[in-house]
Amino acid sequence: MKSFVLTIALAGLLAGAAPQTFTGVITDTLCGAKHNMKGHSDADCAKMCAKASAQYALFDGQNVLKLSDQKTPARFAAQTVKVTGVLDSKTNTIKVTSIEPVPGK
Amino acid sequence: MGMVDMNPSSMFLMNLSSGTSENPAGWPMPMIMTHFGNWNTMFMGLGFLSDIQQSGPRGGDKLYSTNWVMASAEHRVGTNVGSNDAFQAELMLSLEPATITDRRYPLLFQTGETAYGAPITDAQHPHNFIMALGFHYVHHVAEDTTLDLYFAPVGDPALGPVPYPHRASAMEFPEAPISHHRQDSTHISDDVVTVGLQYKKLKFEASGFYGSEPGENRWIIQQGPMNSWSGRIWFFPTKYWAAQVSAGRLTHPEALEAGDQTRVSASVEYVRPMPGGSWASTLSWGRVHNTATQRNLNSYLAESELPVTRRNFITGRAELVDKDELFANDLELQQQLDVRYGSTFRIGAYTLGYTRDIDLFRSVETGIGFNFSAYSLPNAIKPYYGDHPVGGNIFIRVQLRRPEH
Repeated sequence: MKSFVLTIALAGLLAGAAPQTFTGVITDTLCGAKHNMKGHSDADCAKMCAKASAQYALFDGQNVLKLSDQKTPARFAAQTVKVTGVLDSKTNTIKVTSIEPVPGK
Repeated sequence: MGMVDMNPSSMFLMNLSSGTSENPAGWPMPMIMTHFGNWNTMFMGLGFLSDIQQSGPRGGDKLYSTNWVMASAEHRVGTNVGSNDAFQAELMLSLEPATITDRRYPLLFQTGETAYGAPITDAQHPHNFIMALGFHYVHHVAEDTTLDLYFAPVGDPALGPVPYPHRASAMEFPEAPISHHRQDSTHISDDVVTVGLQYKKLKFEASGFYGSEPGENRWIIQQGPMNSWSGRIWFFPTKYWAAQVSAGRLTHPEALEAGDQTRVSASVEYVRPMPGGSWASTLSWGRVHNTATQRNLNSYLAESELPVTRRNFITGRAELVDKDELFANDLELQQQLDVRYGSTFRIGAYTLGYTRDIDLFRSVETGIGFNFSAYSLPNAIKPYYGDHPVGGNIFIRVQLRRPEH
């Protein structure tokens, strides 16, 4: 019985930690949904902010989600991407497994 | 984020701390940002209500509050969309002249400035009501090159590390470090002019300023001739590191002490992003040479603030500081000690603390905390301080911060 309960609990934990896919635009935590650097592209703005105190993040249309991987997003600044990973809702951070561009976006 | 019409110069200004000093850019500065028309504004504020208790014949107890608020307004210069220059005005105020009664709060082995015409010993002075009033013009010279012109009737010249009230690793300490007057005490100077040039990861700065330390009337701006100078070089290897070396010559800084001072400083700051915030640490050295006494007084500081979780912070500070003014209020005793043991005593101060955030307000982080300090001292002065002097604060902390998304 004990092992059955443990197995169920473990399965539950693993199920909770299963990676999800999030689609959105690579932005930064300072600008969020909208970039405001006149005369510069959104990509430049995100890169400039990420060089400063901000971090790369994903804007999924509603929320700005922080990304554990801060290197890969630099290649996709202001582009629409598909992020696979596990969301920690306490810190609003996706522990990133992969980031891929969404073709045609 | 509530900011509008940003450009690279705006970003440069956003990273500045006190005056032209900089914490590592990767440190998420606690502040609230918004805009009024095309003016971007930033508001910062930190306040402690503390009760300090100290042991020994020279220890003291007191309820006091250290605090400051800062507001800045930044605007793009020129109407051209491609304009990359920016202007910023900033004002920092402190109510410490009122919330620190009797012109000081107890702090064992702290020295510097005066209260009621006498040198302050074993205590820390309040900051001025106007801690800063300054203006920046930032010219974006090229992609990796930025020129910063800074004029401040009250401000922070290019000398020393980021001053402790604004340092990432010191935000959870209500009290000053005892190395303050060896390292960062010029952060409230008058008539400051600084020219800074940043090229990629290096920044070069030169300042002229009035070198006298603030007088006892903490409510006024005390102007004077630009009789002192300093220079500083910053190095930012990554956004998580900031290192500086600096030197300055101050004309008669201490009201009751003869001579000028030459100051040299070097420091390195590091921040590491953590799930609960940023782990911030500082190593700093400062040396003061007095031209009248010909003494060299060194100080060393190591300081860290670790967010164990989002709401729990552990803090630590260790200092070694050469002190030659501990007995400045008893000249006879000072002379006796000078003859028998020398004029300078190396003091060690070791502080550990803890702060717990409690969510009370949306844009104000409230925390409760405590810290405990132990000291090492030469045997020669133990009769006056006790063998093992200790002290500690319990405090409530409030800090303005942008709410998390």
